[in-house]
Amino acid sequence: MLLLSRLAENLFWIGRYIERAENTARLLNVNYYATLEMAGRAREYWMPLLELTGGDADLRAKYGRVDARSISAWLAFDRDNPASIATSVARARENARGLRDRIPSEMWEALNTSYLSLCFENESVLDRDGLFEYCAAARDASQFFFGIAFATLPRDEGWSFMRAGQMLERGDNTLRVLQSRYRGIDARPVEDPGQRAMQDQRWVSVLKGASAYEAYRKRVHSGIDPQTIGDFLLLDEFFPRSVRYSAENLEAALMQIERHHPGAHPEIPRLSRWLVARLQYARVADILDEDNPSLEELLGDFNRVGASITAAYFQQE
Amino acid sequence: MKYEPGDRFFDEMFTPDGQVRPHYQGVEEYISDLGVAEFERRHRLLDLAFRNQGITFTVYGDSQGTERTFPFDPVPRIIPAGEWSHVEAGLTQRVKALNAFLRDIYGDAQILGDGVIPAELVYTSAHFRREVHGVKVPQGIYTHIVGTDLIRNEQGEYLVLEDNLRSPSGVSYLLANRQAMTRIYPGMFEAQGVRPVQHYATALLEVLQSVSPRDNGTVVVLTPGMYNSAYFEHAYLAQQMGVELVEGRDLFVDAGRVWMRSTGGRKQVDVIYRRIDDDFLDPLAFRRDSSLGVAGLVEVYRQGRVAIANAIGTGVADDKAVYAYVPDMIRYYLNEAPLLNNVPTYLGWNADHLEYMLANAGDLVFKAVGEAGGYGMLIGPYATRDEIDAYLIKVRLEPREFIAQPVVGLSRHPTFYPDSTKFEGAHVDLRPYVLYGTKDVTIVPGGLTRVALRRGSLVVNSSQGGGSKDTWVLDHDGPATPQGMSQIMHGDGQTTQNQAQSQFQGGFGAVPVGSQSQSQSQSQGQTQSQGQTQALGQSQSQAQPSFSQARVQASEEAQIEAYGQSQSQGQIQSQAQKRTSGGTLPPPAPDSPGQHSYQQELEKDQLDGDQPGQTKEGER
Repeated sequence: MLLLSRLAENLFWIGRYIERAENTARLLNVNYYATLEMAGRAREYWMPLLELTGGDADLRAKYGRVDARSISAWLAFDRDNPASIATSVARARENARGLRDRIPSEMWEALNTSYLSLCFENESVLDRDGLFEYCAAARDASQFFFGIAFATLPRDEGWSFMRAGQMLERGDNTLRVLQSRYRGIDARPVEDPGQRAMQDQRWVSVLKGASAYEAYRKRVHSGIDPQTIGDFLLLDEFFPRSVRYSAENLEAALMQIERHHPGAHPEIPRLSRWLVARLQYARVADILDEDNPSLEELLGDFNRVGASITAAYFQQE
Repeated sequence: MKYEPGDRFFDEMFTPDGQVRPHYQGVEEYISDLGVAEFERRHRLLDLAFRNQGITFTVYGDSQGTERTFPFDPVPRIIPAGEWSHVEAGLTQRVKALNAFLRDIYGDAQILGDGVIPAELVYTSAHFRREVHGVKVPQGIYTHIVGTDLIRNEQGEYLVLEDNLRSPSGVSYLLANRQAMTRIYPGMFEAQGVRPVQHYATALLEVLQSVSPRDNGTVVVLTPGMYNSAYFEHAYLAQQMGVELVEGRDLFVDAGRVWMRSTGGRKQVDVIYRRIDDDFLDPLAFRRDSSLGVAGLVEVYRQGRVAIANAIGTGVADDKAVYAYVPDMIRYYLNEAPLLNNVPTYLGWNADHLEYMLANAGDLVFKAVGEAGGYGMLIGPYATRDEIDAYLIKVRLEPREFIAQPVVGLSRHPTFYPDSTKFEGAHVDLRPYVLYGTKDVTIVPGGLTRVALRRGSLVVNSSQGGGSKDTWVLDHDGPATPQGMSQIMHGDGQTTQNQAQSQFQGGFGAVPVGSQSQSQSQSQGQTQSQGQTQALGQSQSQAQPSFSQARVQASEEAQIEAYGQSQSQGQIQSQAQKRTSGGTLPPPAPDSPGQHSYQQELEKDQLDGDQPGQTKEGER
């Protein structure tokens, strides 16, 4: 079955953008509601989120202030923010428009409907306390879209490219969240009991942002601890949003593609299997305490896999 | 159903004395039974369905929300069996003659040698392509897909306004309209005997495959890209045919063949259904600055290793001056009398015609032959003396470049207006789609009916508030038989199924859905789209390549608007009648009488939405 390079690239990016919209929606939602119950400064909550998406310079320039409201608007609706929910959905839809003949109409229609409802909003959503609904709608849009894909998209190369994009984005996102948290003040438990409760809450938010809170509680009975949370989000074998799980599925998708072109691009299996091996055999202390490999290195590994996909399949003659 | 047909124009649904025409009886009863409120609610559902499906065309020069839905009116246009078979035969005849003509002029040019058509007219046409002279096109077919524009004059006679032979658009709306109608008004179809249209994509693929140089050749649809206004249609057709939708950058020429780039390397391409104008197909053969085409494509085509549909150079046969000779072509090549008449046309090229044109400029519509989309037009009755004089200077300078036609009042059709919640008459035209393959000519029953939604306007152009309607062709001439109805309603499978029955199966059990909340969100969409229609005209003129052109278009739009208004006041009526009855056409126009509407010209490019701008695609 033939797949045009341009369409393969479109599918890959649809996977990435929709996953990105969903991740941003989860993080934003969790953060916004977590800050409501919190006394004092919101900075510890909000800055990591901004760091994920490239800092606060553009936000400051546009809104003149950095607070819960401006950050929420920036991350949710602002089409000037290349990582906002609205931008991600619009770009995914743009890519899907180039694929209309290729993907099932139902997938297109779902995405187009989401685009119409999510991409033309502004701060007035906040005024009517609609952020929760907005974020829930963005998350649902992603799940609906991938759900239709799961049920109707033929399992050919195109599926694998979309899946690869989705998994790469997910692993990348989880790593970035962890990176910002372990770089910050919450990397080690604090002593003061009052502070400690707040810190725990922030770690709960991290879990919730990855939809991992309930799964973590079921699997880990030792309570909220930065190290075990890191272990769970990085290396858990069964949790579908862990970095390891994402890497394994990324590798599986790439192997599916490889089957259509055996041996044509040896760099891709080498890089992706190396990444999986590291995540399968490293211990959490190796990563968080020894930096062996560090979170930065793992992130770099993901990006190298992405670059090799681009070079092998999207830029060839 | 409350409706005032009036008597100035031919009304599709009602006779002048207010009687429903027999073939409309079923629909009229359905609408009356449904009631206006429910009709309106479903009308909103339709709009929402189109928005969600992204059945839109692109408006250039607008930063956000650049896609618009094409307004749709749910009162179907109905053509009875007898009338359709006449139209079908007329179109078939016409398309065969046009292909014979193209074969001829790109070969021995006998028709020119015999003096039937002046050679000068053909060779001076901007769309005549010397580059493909002598090329043997596969199976001798030039126009695989034709979208002929038909209008009906005050007497209800079908006239050909234009043969669109390059790459006519709009067929996707025809298919989408039908699908939406059966989903939302299933009951309207029950027992009416409506002929199906959904086989278009299958028939199109068959035609394209039939011209492949290799057995089981690979067919692709070549689009200028997703920013092209007709992109929805390109993607839709590719999807329905199950072929690749490619852009110029996906293709390349190597070793005398055309290939597409894929993740698994190259794959040979045999048939290209192109939705790009000749000029942009190949930078080596035509416009060098084109980035939409494929370098070297024309050479491969010349060698017969790739088929292009429609063939290169078909535009010469729909040049407005050459158009006037199509009836002569039919007589010359087929030895038949034309079944469908042209609108009378005066050629600036002909000295006698020119004299008449110059003397009667105030009563005529002038058009530049090479232009489309309403550019370069003069509407005599609504131009000032100065404008006419200025225009005539151009005409005298290059008479070959101009034609003139009398003014025609298009037929009208009851149309639902949500603002007044009433049915009012609106002018319509019809574009059937003709497929010409090795086997024979296939015409999907009906076509795209375009309707001028702006009150009193004769402009069916989407940028001028035009919309479309579902078009039904019936398998009978009169009212649907009650007997057939009861059989269907009771699902009596034992009785012999007639055609009408089998067609309705899809409609059953499909219960239109709708809830309060849906209706609300729809009414929002509705108002939006209405508001946008206006913005449309503006943004389009903004997208023009130059200021002066934008001004020309704006002034034309104003003229047309003025024309539409005054028509509704009945001023032009007397003129039009005088002309038809009085027979005041001194130099005989090159074909049989009839009347014309210039307004149609306007929408050519805009329905297809091809604006000169970033991406250009040949209409016709």
